[in-house]
Amino acid sequence: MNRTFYQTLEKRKIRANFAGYCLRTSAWLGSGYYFWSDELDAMRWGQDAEYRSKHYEIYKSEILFDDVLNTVFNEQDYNFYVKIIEIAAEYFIKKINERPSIKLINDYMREHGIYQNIVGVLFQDLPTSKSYSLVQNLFYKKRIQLCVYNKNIILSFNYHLDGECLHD
Amino acid sequence: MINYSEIEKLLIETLEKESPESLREWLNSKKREEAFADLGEGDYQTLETEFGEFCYNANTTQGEILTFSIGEYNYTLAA
Repeated sequence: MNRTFYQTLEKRKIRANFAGYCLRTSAWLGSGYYFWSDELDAMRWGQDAEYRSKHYEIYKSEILFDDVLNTVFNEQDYNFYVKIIEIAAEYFIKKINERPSIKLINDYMREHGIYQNIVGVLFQDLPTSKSYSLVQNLFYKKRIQLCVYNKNIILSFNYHLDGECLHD
Repeated sequence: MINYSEIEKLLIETLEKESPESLREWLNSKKREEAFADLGEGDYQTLETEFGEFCYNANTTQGEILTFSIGEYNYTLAA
């Protein structure tokens, strides 16, 4: 099954010909190719970004979704993900008395071949900005990200639209 | 098809084999990588900022990877 996702990049003189790879510590699901499920989230990310060129671009990708761990909409995948994260975290705490980040746990799984055929993780957070909710006192809208670990499942990567960053 | 029980078993087996020293060393190596990957996000203009500017000016394709070594450590930057 293929699904459409969006990636936000800085607008540069030459268009990207493939998805950008993220290595930063803010890459909460570990190093990988990050995509947004919702085009509006991709645009918000670009508008809030502090890019040198002050412009962003959004690229649209078809992703082969079969071996992605879908922690957002698949209950079994979600329960499994929670379980393995907590198993790993407990070992880190027990052995070195340190709580690891989700990124570190994901990196550990990948570098030690534990994920096997899991080629990506779909995850969510719940933004608490008013722009995400039309009702009072409840933030009901998931912001969904996909982190791709195996670039072979990125079947296409095409320019979609561009816009201006909103910061000064 | 994701084999939940096999992944869980492998995770436990792998972590059981880790000594506190080996796990600490792995964690420290990741922290060094991360500290480097984060350069430029803070208030100091460091190598990634310079590298980003170089890539931007040179029309380098975003996402290209530069790996290099300083001393015994290997580092990676994404354009």
